[in-house]
Amino acid sequence: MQDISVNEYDPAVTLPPVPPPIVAPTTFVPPEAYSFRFTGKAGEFFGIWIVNLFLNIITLGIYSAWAKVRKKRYFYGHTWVADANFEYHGNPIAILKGRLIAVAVFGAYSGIGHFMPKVAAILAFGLFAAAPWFIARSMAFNAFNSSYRNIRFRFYASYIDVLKAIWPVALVLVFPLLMPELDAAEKVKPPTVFWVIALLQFMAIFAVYPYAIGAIKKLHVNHSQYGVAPFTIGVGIGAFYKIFLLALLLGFAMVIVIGIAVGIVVAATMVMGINGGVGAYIMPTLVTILAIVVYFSMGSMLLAYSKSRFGNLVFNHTRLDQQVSFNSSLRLTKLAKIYFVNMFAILFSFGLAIPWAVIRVMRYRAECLSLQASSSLDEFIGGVSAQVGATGEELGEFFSIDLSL
Amino acid sequence: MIPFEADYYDGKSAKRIAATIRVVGDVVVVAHTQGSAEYALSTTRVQSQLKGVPCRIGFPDGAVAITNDHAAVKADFGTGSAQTLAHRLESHLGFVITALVGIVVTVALGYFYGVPWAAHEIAKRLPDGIESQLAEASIKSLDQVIFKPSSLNENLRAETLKAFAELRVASDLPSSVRMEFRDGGWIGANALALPGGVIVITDQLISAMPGVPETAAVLAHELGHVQHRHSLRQVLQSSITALAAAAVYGDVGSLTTIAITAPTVLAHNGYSRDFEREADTFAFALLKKTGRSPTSFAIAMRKLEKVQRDNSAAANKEVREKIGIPEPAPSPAETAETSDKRNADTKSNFGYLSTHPATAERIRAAEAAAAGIVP
Repeated sequence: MQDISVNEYDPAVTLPPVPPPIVAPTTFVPPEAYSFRFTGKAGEFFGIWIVNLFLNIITLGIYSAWAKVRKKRYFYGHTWVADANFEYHGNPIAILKGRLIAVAVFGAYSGIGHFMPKVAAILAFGLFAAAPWFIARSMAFNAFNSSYRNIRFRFYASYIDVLKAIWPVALVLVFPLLMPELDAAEKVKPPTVFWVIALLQFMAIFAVYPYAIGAIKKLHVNHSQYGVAPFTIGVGIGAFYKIFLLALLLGFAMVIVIGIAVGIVVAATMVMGINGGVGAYIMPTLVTILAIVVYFSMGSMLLAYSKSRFGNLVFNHTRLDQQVSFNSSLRLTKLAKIYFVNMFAILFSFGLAIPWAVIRVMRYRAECLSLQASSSLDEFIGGVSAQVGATGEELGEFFSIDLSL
Repeated sequence: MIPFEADYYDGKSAKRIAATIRVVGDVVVVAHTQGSAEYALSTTRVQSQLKGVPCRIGFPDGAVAITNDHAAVKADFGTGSAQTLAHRLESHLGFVITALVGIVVTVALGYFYGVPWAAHEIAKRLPDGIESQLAEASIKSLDQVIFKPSSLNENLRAETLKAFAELRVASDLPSSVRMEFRDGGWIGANALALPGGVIVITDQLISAMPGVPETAAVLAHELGHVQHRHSLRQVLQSSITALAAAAVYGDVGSLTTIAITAPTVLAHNGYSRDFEREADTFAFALLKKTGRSPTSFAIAMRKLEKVQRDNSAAANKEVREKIGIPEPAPSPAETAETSDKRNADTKSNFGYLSTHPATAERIRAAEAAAAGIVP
């Protein structure tokens, strides 16, 4: 499913800023800094969101292609920098075609899966093999349909380029299939073998996850263009591992702190409830509330950590044609607070606060982003354009290949 | 015609050019600092309006003009192209409220009728083979993770099987419906109806029952799950709910995914409670049909509740010992009735989170059913 930060992968917003470059003294121009601004309003977006939802329901999902375009146009159109806004041009019909193909493929896959598991396995392998293509097409479709000052973004990566970025993930996912003796072994010592395999796979996922995030982000930036100007990113995979390891430590620390806090509260309530006191009555309610608070606070902290750290890392190392650099200063605590409040708002409003929550995040992200240009932004030039189909993107979305990993 | 100001971008470079646009007859004249351009009115395209977003006019050579002067564009280019139906609906407060009410009603109807109906219809149409495959797969993984082989004594086993066979025949369920004995491991006293008509009953449950009639009452309840194909429908309903939630809220991201997990779990438990009631009703009828009394179901429920209470009392005792609080003297005020009452209250507090309806409610239902036959 797509990320709340639709713009994250959008070269439009992924436009990197250029720090004051060192230029020959005679031509030195002080770099100009421009802040990003998001001008969307919760009330306005609520109208768009609720109408999208309603029309989706009564058209049994057909309208979703149009809904997606209106939503993206709203987000892009309200994202401003240097007195101009971004624009989204996706064609609903192209998106609808992509979605229909995705549904057909998925339907065929699950239908066949029930009756002919072997054929389904081959089909799954085929889809797996095609994943790099879906990813490349999806990124190309998004880039091509984004523009700023009437100049389109572009993305081109070959099958091999994408494969190079995602192969470790693919390996980990097919890992259990590479163990044909598993069934035989199971009969000898079921639990041990079962857990060892599960543990190994778990560890392997941890080991390759940062690589996958880093490689896909690098692929995305390095293969994107604004008009004919290329984006480049100057950061190694090591930086992604560092963020990930710190996230693990943060996670452990939170488990310990929250565990102690919850333990104290629960123990105190149990003591109050031992002789039939008030504790026995409030216990179930208390456990429910604690579970939700713990779940939401862990969720928002870890989500905020990865969004802020990875987002800052990518933006701060990205250049556009050596002219423009970006500065992203997302703060973990601020973002975590926004997410935490959003989750409660969404839960208690039965989802109706979603538009408000989304706008809050978009606004904060734009607030933290700026670009610096060593020459005028007017200088960027366009180039030849070609239409890009939407099938890759829709298949990717349908099979939940999360491109923002 | 009203002239208006716009930013003009030629599409060849990112250069912003301040321009004045006027429509003269069938011609659009764009006058800007670098010169001017003329386009036939019919070749221009005004993009559909979106709240708060500037208006965009596209020209045939790839250039665009961007302006906030919506009124002038409307006057000069006509309203048809810019004012799409979507924009009118989004801006119309009445429609927004109608849509909101429509969605709430749809979600409620979907939850109470749509999802259960769809799951039921799909379950009816699924070939039997799939269900029995599911049964074998689930008992295999339960054996791996939870269960141990049963160590029940032969007599008790034979008596239980005999009661089961009677109930099964009386229920008109096919002979492929069978029962299995297992040691419950950490789930303790429990009984499960797996898809495909396999009923698993744990040694702990059988030993907790005062006699075979109570075990039979539990089996009748599980046969109710089999009769209504609850396990399969549960799986289907969970998938349908998840799919629907993803379709409705899915494209807004990981944040929402985290926030909607809780309601989805509650929806799941809500369906479980309905299934338990359905299985209870079936059990009462089946017990009567085989000459048994639903009272044994009430006794079984009380017993199970006591097992649960003892377990939590044991946990309480452990805490007391650790922190040095003396054993409370049995309070004379605490009769069985008030204790039941308190348990019922605590239970109903747990209502939304529990998969079973409050036990007191089920006991009352069993006794009411029994009252119908007991002289």
